[in-house]
Order: sequence, then C-alpha cells, then structure tokens
Amino acid sequence: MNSILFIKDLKLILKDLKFQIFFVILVILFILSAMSSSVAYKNLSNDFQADYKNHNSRVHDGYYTQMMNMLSDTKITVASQASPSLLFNNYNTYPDKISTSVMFYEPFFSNYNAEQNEVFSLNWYFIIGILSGFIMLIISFEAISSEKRFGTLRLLSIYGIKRQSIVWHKYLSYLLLYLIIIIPPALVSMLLFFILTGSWSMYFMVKFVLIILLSIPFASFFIILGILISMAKNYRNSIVLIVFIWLLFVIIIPQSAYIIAKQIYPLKTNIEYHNMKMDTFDKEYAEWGEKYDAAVYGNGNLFDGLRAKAVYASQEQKNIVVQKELEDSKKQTKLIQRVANLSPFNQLDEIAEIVFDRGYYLLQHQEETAKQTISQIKNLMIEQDSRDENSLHLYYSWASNDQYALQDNIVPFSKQLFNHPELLFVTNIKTDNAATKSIYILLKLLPIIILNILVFAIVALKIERLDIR
Amino acid sequence: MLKITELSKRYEDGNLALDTLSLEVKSNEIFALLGANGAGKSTTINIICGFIPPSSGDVEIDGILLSKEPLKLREKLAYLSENVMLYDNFTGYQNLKFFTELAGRNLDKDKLESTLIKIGLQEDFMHKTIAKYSKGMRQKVGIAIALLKDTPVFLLDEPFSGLDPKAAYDFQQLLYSLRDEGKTIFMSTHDIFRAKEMADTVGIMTAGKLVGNKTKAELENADLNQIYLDYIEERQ
Repeated sequence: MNSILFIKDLKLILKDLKFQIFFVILVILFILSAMSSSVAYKNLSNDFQADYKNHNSRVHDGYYTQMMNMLSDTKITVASQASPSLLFNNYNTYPDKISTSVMFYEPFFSNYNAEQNEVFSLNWYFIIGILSGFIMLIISFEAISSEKRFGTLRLLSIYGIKRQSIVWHKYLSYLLLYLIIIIPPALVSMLLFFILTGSWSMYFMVKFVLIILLSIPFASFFIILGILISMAKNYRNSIVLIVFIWLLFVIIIPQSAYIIAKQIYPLKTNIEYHNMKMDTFDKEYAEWGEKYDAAVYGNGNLFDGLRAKAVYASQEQKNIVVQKELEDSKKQTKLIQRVANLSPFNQLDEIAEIVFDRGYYLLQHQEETAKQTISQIKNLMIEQDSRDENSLHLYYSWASNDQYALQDNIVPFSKQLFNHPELLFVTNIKTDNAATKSIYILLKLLPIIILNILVFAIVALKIERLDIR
Repeated sequence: MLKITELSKRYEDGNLALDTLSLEVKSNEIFALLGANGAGKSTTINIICGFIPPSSGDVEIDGILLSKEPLKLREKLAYLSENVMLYDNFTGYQNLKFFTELAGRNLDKDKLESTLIKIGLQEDFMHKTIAKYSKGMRQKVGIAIALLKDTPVFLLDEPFSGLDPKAAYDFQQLLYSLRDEGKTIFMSTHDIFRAKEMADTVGIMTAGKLVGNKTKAELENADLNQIYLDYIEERQ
C-alpha cells in the first residue's frame, strides 16, 4: 500500500465542497434522528410501563384469576421493553410490541411490512443505508474522471504507479471516508439519545458497531460502482447513470417487487375474506344446530353451555380462514422481500432487522412465542375443564359475548381460579442465538459480496483500457 | 540516453499517427521535435510516457526497454505538458510535496519552497490552491515537479506555452543547466525560433514520419523556417 497516494486521495476528498456539505447534512440528520427518536422512545417506554403496571396490578388483585374477566376483557400481550433499537425503526409505529388474543391471533402484519408501510420517516436505516450509499456514489463518481480532467492520471503513471493501484487507493480512502462520515455523527447521535432519554445500553452499542461494520460491504459496493461510473466517456453520462442507479435501487426495484408479488400471490379483498370467515362460521354453527336439533339457536335451552361450545367450534373453523388469510399475506410479503432484495438498500435493511431483532424477523419470533403461549393456555384450560365437569373455561370467552349463551341462573360455570396468569403477559421474546443469526447474516451478505467482486473485476479491466491521453 | 526504434502507432480507426520513427537523444543534449499539429509529436511523447501502447517498435532509456519494463522506464522520465496537470484543490506547495514524495524523495519544506521560488513562482501564491493560479503559474509548478523528480530524461510537450517572457527565459536557462548536468532533454514544439535557439538537434516531423534531423551546427547559418516549410511541401 502506498500511503502517499492514500493520504492524497483522502485529503482531496476532505477538501471537496461536496463532501463537506454532505457531512454537515449527515450530522444534522443524525442529531434530528436522535431527538425525535428520544421522544418516541419515551412515549413507548411510558406505554410499556403503564401496560406492565396494569398487568401486575391485575395479577395482584386476582383479576386474572377470574376466567370470565380474563378471556373476555384481556388480551395476551407479547411485549418487549422499548429499546434504543428504535433508532433503526419507524418511530411512529409500535415495532416492539404486538397484541393478540387467545382466540384471535391476528398480528398487525402490515405494520411489519416495510413495503406496505408508506410512511416515509427519518431513521438510522435511512441515513446509514440509503443516504450514505447515495453520498458515497456521488463522492466516488468523479474519482477517475477528475484525475483524467486534471491530467494527473497521466502524471501518476509517469511515476510508475499502476492504474489498478490508483483505483485501489481511491477505493480504500473512500471506504475510510465512509467510516469518517458515519461513525462520529452516529456516536454523537447515540450519546444525545442516551442523554435525552436517560437510558444506557451497552448491548445496543455493540449491535450499533456491528451494523456499522455490516454496512461496509454495501458502502463498498456504491464506492466501486461510483468509480466504475467515473470511467464513463463524459460527465453527462456519469450523472445520468447515477440518477438511474438511484431510481433503480430506491424506487424501481422495491415498487416492482410489490407489483410482481401482487400479481403472483393476489390477496382477496377484505370483504371477500370477511364473507369467507362468516360463511365458514355460519356453516359450522348450522351443523351444530342440526346436530342438536336447533337447540343452539335463539334464546332457548343452553344446557351445559352447548351454545358456547358451538360458538367456540365455529370460531375455530373461522380461525382456519383467518390463518389462510395470514398465510396468503405472508406469501405475498415474502415474495416482495425476495424481489426487493435485489436492491442493496433492502438487503441492508433485512440485516438490520436480524441484528436488532425487529421488523419481519421479530414478527416471526413473536408469532411463534404467541402460538406457544396460546397452546399452553389452551392445554391448561382443557386440563382444568376435564377435572370439573361443569367448567367451561375454554369456551367462556365466546359465551360471555353472547347475551343468550350464558345466564347466571342456569349455567353451571366453574368458579375455580385459573392458575397461570403469568402466561398472559410475555415479556421475553426468544430470538435466534448469535451463531444462527450469523449464518442468516452471512447468507444475506453473500449477494452484495458477489456484486462487489463483479464490479471490482469490471473496474480492473476497464481501467487498463482507459484512454488517458 | 533516450533511444526510439522503429516506433509506429496505428489507431483503431486506421489512422497511422506514427510511422517507424527512430531517433536517439544523448545525455547532455536537447532535442526539439518540430512539427505542425497532428504531425505525431504528441503521439510520440504519449507512447514514451506509456499513455498509449505502440503498434510496433520500442523505446529505451539507459538500457531499460518500454516493452519489457514499462514502469521502470517511466521512473526514469520527468514529464511536463503544455497544460500542466495538477490537483486543483491542493496548493502549489502541496502538489510539489506530493509528487516529490511519490518520486521517493523526502525533501524538507525549505527545499520545496526554495525550488518554487527558484522557478519564479510568487511567494504569496505558494500556499494558495492551484485553482487560483494562472496558466503560467501552473506551468512553473509543473517545472518544479519535473525538476525534483530528478530523472535522467526530461520529456517536455510544448513547455514554453503560457510562460511570460521572463519566465520563458529563466526556464530556458534552467534547461541549459540541466543539459550541462548530463540530462537528456526531449521536447516537442511548433516554435521554430525557440527550437533553433535551444536545441542541439532538431527533428522535423510531418504525417507521423521524421523527415528531417538537423544538428545545431547544420542550422547555424540556415533558415530553419524555410527548411521546415520545404520538408512539409515535399511531403505534400
């Protein structure tokens, strides 16, 4: 490595007005991000504290121990404390929190689908991913053309410097520059966030360093792409290419992903899904009616909670349709993500999801956690019901919503307590261990690494053929 | 010593820019290559510098061949072009420091500054960015860079272009002293009078061919302008 060349390239860029303007913009954006994130963090934190306090007081008061109250009024909440990872999220949503009920497990899928979330907001992913990628492209797109314009490319070759060495040193100096423009403003932003919120997380700081390191291959891609563009025949072509690449990665690919996925996995309308659910419910309910000679209808005989059982069974059938709707939506989302991943910005976003346990990645774990909890509760209910022939623990929530289903004077409902209220509030989401996460991340890094190698090879070939007269 | 042997260059469009050029410039010699625009002067320099590959032929400096060791050959060259090549965001001093260090020489600030003063750069401009320099001032920094590379061969492409009379005179004296130190100086020009005044040998090029080669003695009482025009007419 020729330190003289390296320092020269670094000095030239540091003196460049473009770079100075972009650096100031980044500092301002990082500070704004910290300030607005701290407000959102406080709100989320307050919400969480309130929920947690409420939950604890209910447990303490024996509120959960009453089956009726538990199933009709309270939902199982899978929640995690608001964390500094908020900086990487759209802070106007509730990314770290998901509510569900025992009977209706329908996560708010669209909240976790970046493509469906149309709110454009300022966050670290935007700054580190999209903006800095673009800045590196703008900074590097004159790397060779400026040397050619000044004629210094010729002079350097007189000093026995290989052309590929010129490219290599420029690349390294720009990569260092990337860290210079990202790390100090991001650190200031982090410290500001911690000061404003009065919080501190070493765990997050480690993840922060990790995401900066993981963003290097992406920055590298835009730098080497910029260098390739800087070898275009004229300045106008370079500008056109920059604009095209920007549009391709930020708009065309993500939008195409959405259109393609909608064509391949079309979703029914909300009304169609609603009708399907109601039809399924009605059909099952009707079968119960036929089976028990219409006893479940009207305000007639509801001996042994038969009507509650009928509603529960119908609801279970309806839940199959709900699951189908969810699966359809998942398929579409997965395809959107696969196509959108052709854009490096999306690849980095997915890696950030894994590192910071957020977004679609976290949703999958939350869904799994919630399913396990629901299954556990159901089993416990069945177990308790089997011990008491009058008990309708499992069916009571449905029955309680139906004015005809239960009448205090005739329904023999167990007054036994539900013994496991702690299951109804899950605060720990189990995510993959570091080794599994590393494999996921490496697999996601693979495309960008291949792209880097490919563009490097093209640059190496092109620089040797460049006419420097 | 600079030796060019059977050097030819045919571009992809079929244009023969250089046609079997052979010449030799010894140490302690100033060689001026005279020719109109498009005669092949710049192509010759571009090939020697390695900016473009030759179609055939070779260049040799002190036993090093362009075809065998191009990078090593370039280290033996100092190059000064008509439009001096410098980094606009650097000062004259910073440009000189960078290229001197690149040549493997670590000179102190006083030496670098005194070189710039010696070639006539105004002191108050030394630490201003090149973007603020006139063409002549850039040329002076270019000369300083070439000087401090301290090579046996100097390639100068229209070196007097942009210099004021005083600076041109000073530069001319500098070239004489370099020659006397044993350097080989090869310059292209279309300034007939300067060529006659300075060069130990004048080569006349037209349409990629070296059509004439006159020593200082041969030119002493001759009209170089007329000789040059005669050669050109002959070719046409």
